[in-house]
Amino acid sequence: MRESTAKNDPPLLALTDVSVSVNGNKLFENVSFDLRPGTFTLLQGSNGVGKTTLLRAMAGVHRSFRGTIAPLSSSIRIALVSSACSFMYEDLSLRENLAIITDSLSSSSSISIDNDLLSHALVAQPLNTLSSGERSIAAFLRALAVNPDVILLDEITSPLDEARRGAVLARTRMLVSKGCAALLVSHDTLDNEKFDARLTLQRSGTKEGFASV
Amino acid sequence: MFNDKLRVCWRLFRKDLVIEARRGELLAMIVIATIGLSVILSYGAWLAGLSENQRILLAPALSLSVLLITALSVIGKFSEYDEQSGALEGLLMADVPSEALYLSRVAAIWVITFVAALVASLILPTLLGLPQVAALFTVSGIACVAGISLGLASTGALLASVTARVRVGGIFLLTLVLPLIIPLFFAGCEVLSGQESGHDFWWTVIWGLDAIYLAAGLWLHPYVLVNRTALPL
Repeated sequence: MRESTAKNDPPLLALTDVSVSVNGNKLFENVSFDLRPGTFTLLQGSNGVGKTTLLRAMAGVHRSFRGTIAPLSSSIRIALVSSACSFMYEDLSLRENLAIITDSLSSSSSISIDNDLLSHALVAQPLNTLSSGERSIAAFLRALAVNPDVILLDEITSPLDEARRGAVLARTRMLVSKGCAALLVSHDTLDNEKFDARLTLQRSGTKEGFASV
Repeated sequence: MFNDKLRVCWRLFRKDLVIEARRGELLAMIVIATIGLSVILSYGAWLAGLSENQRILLAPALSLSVLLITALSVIGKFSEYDEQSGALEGLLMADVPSEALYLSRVAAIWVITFVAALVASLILPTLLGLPQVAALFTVSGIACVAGISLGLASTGALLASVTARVRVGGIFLLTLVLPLIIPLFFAGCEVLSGQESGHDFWWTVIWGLDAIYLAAGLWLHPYVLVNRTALPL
């Protein structure tokens, strides 16, 4: 069963019959869905079902899976943002981490634009001195700096207060409005938020490994 | 394009040094290991009752042994830190070129092993009662140590990427690197021994192996980065 997000453009990322096992235990099987430009998708599921692993596979970090995960082209940039792992050097500040991957950081617009998310002082502090919420924001800002075509947000809103959660979602929607495809994994109740698709990842052994809510 | 990669390479190299400056872990390990090994080896030399001439002959081999052992003990640390922090994945997702990742790591390990060589060259001759022997401070001595360090760094940067995720990665790394480094060690001892005959051959061995290791590292590193997650942990 293929779930497809709303817009009609070709998918930026297409998953077909993706199955993942970890240490011989099947997490999920035959997951198929597309992420199309300008769409915001919510992915939910119970603990341990493999949401994080699925996102890591989509980002190319986890490579042991069956099925296909096909980006529209090799130039598609996929950014994974996780509350569990910043994908940055914790002894460096966000500014220093960004300096590794981007040019002319001091004039980096992505930092100044998102000053409402993380203050200038915190941008210059080593990540290991920040709170978990601030680190999540830093990871999010880092993902923005690479101008992603697809952004995968893994529990990014969980450690955030309401104001910052709203700001992150608003910033994500801004990206989506520019043609980015966003996928949010969350256990939060986001009933008031509008998504183009709400999907639930189910455990292996179920007849339909993947189904929409 | 080439300039872009060089710029990224420089930023990655600087990052490794900045992190090391903040953590101070590797430098501390190198200094302690170098002093400890120098004391142990020179004590052995004194215990054996070697004459001054014998100690002069032995000094280069002991210096290179100290360099080799201390370098091997820290060579995998950069990669382990990359993997544990997840930062390597972040760099790969940001499309940082593999060549830049590899060359910057070679440069960082090269600098660190040079520090080990510097400490060993100051301490070991003194402990051996040979303060006049500072083999590493001649042009040929510096070039020799630079060549051996480059070989260590080239193989270490590549193979540490393979072993950083493995549970017994440290032992695994030693097992892989040692056979590649021993020919360099022998060649270095010959060059530093002070005998003129056969020097050209041993210099060719050192720089030839360096070139092979560096080229192989550049070629294999992209495959290692992509496939390293398939290794059993």
